Amino acid sequence: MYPARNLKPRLSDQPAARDDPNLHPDYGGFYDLFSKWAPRPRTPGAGRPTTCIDGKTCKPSSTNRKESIMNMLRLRGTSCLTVCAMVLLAIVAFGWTSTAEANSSEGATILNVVQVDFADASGTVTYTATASSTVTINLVEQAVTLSGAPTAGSPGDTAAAPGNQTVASGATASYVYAITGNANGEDTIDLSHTVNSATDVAAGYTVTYSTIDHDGSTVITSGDPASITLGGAVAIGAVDADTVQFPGGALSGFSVGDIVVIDGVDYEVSGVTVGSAASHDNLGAVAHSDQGTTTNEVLGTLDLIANANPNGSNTAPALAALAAGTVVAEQILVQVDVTATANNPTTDGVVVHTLNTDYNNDATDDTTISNTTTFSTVGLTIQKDVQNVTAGGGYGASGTGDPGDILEYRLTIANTSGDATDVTITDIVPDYTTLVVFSDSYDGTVSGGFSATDLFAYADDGTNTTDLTVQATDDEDTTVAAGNASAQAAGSTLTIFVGSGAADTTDTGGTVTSSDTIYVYYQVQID
Amino acid sequence: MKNRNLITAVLFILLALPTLALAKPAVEVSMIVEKELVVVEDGKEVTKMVTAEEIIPSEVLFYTITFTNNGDEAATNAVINNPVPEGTAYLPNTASDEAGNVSFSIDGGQTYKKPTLLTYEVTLPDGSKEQRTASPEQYTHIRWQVEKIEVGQTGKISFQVRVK
Repeated sequence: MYPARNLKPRLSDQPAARDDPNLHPDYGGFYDLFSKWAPRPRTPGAGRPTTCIDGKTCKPSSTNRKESIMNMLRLRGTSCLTVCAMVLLAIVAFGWTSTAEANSSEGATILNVVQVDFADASGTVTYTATASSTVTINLVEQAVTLSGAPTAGSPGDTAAAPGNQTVASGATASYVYAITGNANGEDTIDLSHTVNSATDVAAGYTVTYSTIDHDGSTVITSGDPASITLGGAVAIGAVDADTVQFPGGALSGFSVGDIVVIDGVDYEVSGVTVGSAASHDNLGAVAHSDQGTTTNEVLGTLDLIANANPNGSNTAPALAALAAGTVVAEQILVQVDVTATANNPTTDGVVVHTLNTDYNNDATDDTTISNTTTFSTVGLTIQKDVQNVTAGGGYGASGTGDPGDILEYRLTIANTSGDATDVTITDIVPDYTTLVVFSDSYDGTVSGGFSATDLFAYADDGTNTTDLTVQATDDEDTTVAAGNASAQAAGSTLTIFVGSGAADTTDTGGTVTSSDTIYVYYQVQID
Repeated sequence: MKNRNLITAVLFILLALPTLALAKPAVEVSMIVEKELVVVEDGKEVTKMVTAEEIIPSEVLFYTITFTNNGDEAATNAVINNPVPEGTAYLPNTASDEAGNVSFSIDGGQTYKKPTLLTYEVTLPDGSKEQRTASPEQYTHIRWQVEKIEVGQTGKISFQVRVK
């Protein structure tokens, strides 16, 4: 059994002590300890697994280990009181390591001051002596909480993790995660990311992360920061609705503008006071004969305001009744950007990434969060319709016409997914027809000849329109289309560069993004 | 001769007076605080006591207070008061108890009683009042009383708290 060193009263063996009945108790085993009062029933957290109701009967707790101890000792005929004491001692000696969640702040100082008041032999003059000791509370690291960024309906660390995204091939998907601490002090969390899989995407895809402000846009640290430091502390109460108190000198890792989470709600720090711990000058194992001086504790405080950022619940602090032992932890947002291009025309690319956290810096990932990004392939289509302008009627895939009739062709370029780049259309003036060109504007005055500045086509993307000139040396409108016509006769080539960035002079097709639709029109006359 | 004897006697008294007048008790007190550390020795886990400078929440602190009368007169009616440190809770039945000279306070040191007599009143939802016995976590102070500490005598008292 573990020695009873701290339960036994200990006096020196000096004769004077032996002779004095007050100073020489007959402590046989633990009888004195337990005969003075019946041990109390177990209270939550008190950690007493054995209950002695009347000082005679012990009820073992449900755990087998403790029951076996009880049974073993009972078989030996040991008295119940001793069993009680021994079981209690065993638990005190071996139970409760540091697994319990901390509800004292790292850096808080436990100051113990003992005071002895005594009188001289005649009982007339009184004296006082004090001694003290201090113990500092250590950091108890805890795994972080990973969630989505807080919003009005989902404060603190309660927002659901961001959902998987589908973006156009070549585009970037951004995920914002909130990392919230749970430790009793400032803790450094190692960060890393893993690309679990990258299928049907071209080489050169990227997954990067950065820490961002709760305003959602300001990057704090870019380029895959190796670690983040989260402030943490355990409150001892609140001064008022928006000022939380901490042990003096124990606050570290907090600064104005930080976002903290208290009882699942996010707030912004507007003021930090560290304070100072209490101290006493008669310290330690040295004997003291005088009354030392105690320097009082100055409590630490955090002033809080609502987190009114775009990534914030905007909840006004109402913490006047904050319970002692509540963890106040910093929250940092991490944005992961995933960029990739699908490398197969008919199969979407897929990238799966994981953001890893390591709270105890042992190079083993602890809490992680993962998302899947789909990079959809380009869904570009082209359709050609014709209508007989002379005879009237709508566009169709086919129709009839008499010699001399004007036909108008309509090319429809539509994109349903992905970004189509360098989009170039080549068309040929149909047999038995001649291209119609205009001198002032498309569908305006028919030109008498075929000059470089004549207009042969018209483009419309729903927002902007442009006429296209015959010549290849100008850019009609680089946001819609550009183009040129080689000649009017049947078999002549019409070249049309479509989309944003289209350039006739450099023979460059433009970019047609997902959901864009562009129409191109030109007219011919039946020979 | 007579005069010499008288002078010697007066001198002796004069020399002896200060010592007699300054005879007084001088109780010196010191404190150590320890924690348990499990170390592996020869492949076995051994629990050792080490001085506690730092501690992790939920661990237990073992306080030992030593008092010695280094004066030249007995000290009487010694009262040793130790507030339970902030941020900790007293562990039941850990205060050393010499023949029942330990008592506890739940009111910040105003009154001290034996644990079974430490009661407080709560008002129940129905308005009736109930006396409840205080649990050890509610103790605010521990007190030991020693009637007499002889010259040269040393005593030790101890108790344990759990860090919150």
